[in-house]
Amino acid sequence: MRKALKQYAQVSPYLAVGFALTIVFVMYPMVKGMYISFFHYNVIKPETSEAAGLSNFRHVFRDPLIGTAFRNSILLALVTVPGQWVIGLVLALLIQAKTVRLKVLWRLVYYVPVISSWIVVSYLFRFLFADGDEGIVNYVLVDLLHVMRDPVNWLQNTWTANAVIWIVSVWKGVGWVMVLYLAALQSVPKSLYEAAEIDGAKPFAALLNITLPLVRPLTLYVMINLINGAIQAFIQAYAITQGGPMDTTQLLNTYLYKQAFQYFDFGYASAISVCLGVLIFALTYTQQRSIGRDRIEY
Amino acid sequence: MKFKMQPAKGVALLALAAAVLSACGSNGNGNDASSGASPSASPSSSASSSPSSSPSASPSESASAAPSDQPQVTVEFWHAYGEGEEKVLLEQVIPKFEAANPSIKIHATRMPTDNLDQQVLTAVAGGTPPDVMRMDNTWVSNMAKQGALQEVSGFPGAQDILDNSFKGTVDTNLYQGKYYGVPLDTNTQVAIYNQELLAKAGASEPPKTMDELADLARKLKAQGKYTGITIGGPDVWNFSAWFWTLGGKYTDDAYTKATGYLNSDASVKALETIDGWYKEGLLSPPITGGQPGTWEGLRGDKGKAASYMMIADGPWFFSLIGDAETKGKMLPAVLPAGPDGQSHSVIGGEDMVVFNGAKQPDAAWKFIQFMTSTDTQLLLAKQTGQIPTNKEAAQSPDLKDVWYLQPYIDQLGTAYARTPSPNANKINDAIQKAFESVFKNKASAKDALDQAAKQVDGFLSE
Repeated sequence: MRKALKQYAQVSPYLAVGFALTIVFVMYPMVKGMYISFFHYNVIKPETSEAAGLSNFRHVFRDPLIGTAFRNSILLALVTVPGQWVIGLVLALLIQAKTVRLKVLWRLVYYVPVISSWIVVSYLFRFLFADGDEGIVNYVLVDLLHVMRDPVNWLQNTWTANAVIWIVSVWKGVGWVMVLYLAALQSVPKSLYEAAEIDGAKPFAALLNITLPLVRPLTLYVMINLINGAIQAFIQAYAITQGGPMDTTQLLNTYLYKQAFQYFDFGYASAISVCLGVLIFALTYTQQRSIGRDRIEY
Repeated sequence: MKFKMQPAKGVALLALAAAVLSACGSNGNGNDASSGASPSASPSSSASSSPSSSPSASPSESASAAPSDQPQVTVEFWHAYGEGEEKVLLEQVIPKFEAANPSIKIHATRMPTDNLDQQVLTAVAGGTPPDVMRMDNTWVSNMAKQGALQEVSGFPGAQDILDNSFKGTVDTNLYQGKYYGVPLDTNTQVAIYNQELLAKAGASEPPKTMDELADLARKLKAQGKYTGITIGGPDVWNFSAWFWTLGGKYTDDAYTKATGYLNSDASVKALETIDGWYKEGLLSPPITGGQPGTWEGLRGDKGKAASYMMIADGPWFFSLIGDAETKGKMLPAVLPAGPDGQSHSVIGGEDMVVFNGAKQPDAAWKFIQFMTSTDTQLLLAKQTGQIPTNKEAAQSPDLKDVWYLQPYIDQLGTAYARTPSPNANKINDAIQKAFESVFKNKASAKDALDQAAKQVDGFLSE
């Protein structure tokens, strides 16, 4: 007992730093954000802020643009979570395959987007999908491949603009999924595959019945993070479309940013953000609970 | 605690490593796992990290050379002048002021234009605002509502400055019937014609009315892939001049109500007229965000010939491109007139404001008086092409030296301000969306304007 206390005393300075940082940069802003959401908040003279009761929250549920932003955030999750997961997994399996050479190179190639800056990547895609003759994608489709007669105004139409946001999100995320699965795949005992082969199992059957069940804990972890990331997506939409055309590509995060920093409506923005936090918690809670519970016995 | 299986531990470790490696941002929602897939820092945390320079750190340099009886004060001045303009400011304007007011030193800071309003807000909220700022005139009423600005009527001679300035520019400083700034410079859009294409359409001089312009556009269209009318976009900066000239209105004259104005028959007709041009193929692509851009279309770009006969833009078109490429090729002219025999362009420009929490408000006000004086306004106009808001300066014969400026000054006489309101951003967005939905065939002009009018009413009454 005394030894334990002594150990605590020894490590406490290190713990304290972490605690302090968490309190200052995570807990305090969170609590303050919730507090602000009950006011028509004036950042310059906070003491003059009018109490808003629940009106900011009522507004969240009546604002038609929240509907649009919610739809886009959910669609982004529905498209990019399976997209990143499937492509990332396939890439991992391909790179893992015996016949593939230069494994390090491939890993690097697919991981580069992950470590690149979001803002750089977003601008890159904005130029790739630029309107008219200026964009490379239009140039390839119209002038090189002759698939289309006229260039598409990618960023001026709701669904093409959303598609660009989805593409950049998937493209940037697959490397992360791939690296995690590459690691997990290496931990699956080879003997299981050999046994399956002897029993006459096809590779796809082996994937479904051996690989996937054995990497299930990782899959859960990946899913939670992908969903979390998709609902919280911000920079790609902000940098590529600014929510346009006509606010039809706003995500929940870009919309609340607009409310806060373009309309200076911090109370309403905080209310949206609190709702967003609750939504993410609800979406990932059930999975969070089961994480780490199921241990796999080989 | 012990891991039964090594692989599970491996996975956990690698997952952790990957999460760290993927450089994920902070996680504002309290989940312990950070989002490697879309590591977008939550917006709430980015507020605190937005760069705010600390302007108050520098007044120490003023300590020397102070006359013994007058205390030396330093006025912190924020602006977003361009490079050439800043040179004139630092080398001519400020030395002149300091020579006339030896007890005051002006410390001018050139601010980046991106997210400048957020920076200003952060500085004021953090208690370190500048004393005085040259601010985009559409921000003033919102900044006033936020409590960032001082009302100007208490300063000596404020009414004189307001009286000596064009009404449209004065109105941009209104918040709840009071003025929170004074106009410094102004600009507006006039029509700029490509003279070659104008001749191709069969005209020797710019059209006088909108109908004439549309006729020219039709003639030009018959000759190939040309467009005669270019509206830069459906946003209020680019679209207002056309909407207003054709008879449209946003609100009543006191800016209190939109219903009955924004959706009046005249407004609907104005929007329908422009939409008719669009459907007829007379409008250039930028109205719906298409390429080439207005300047590229008007002048030709990257080996492509010019295809737009005219655009509407501010005087910077000429000062930025330079005389060699514009004089004799590009012709500025007052916009063609609408049903009332006039054209009503949109007023842009900057106002001078004093912040709440300013350390030297009185010295700052002296600087404002100097900047709005006829002499300074003339100097800035001649050196940088900025249009004076001071009526006397604007009528000075000296301005004739700047060859492209006269149409702008003429146009300003009938120009309107965009709705001054603390909710100006929301109002402008609502109006823009109404216009855009018509061009994208999402709504009829009547329905779109009815809906926008209702929204704008709400924003005006807030």
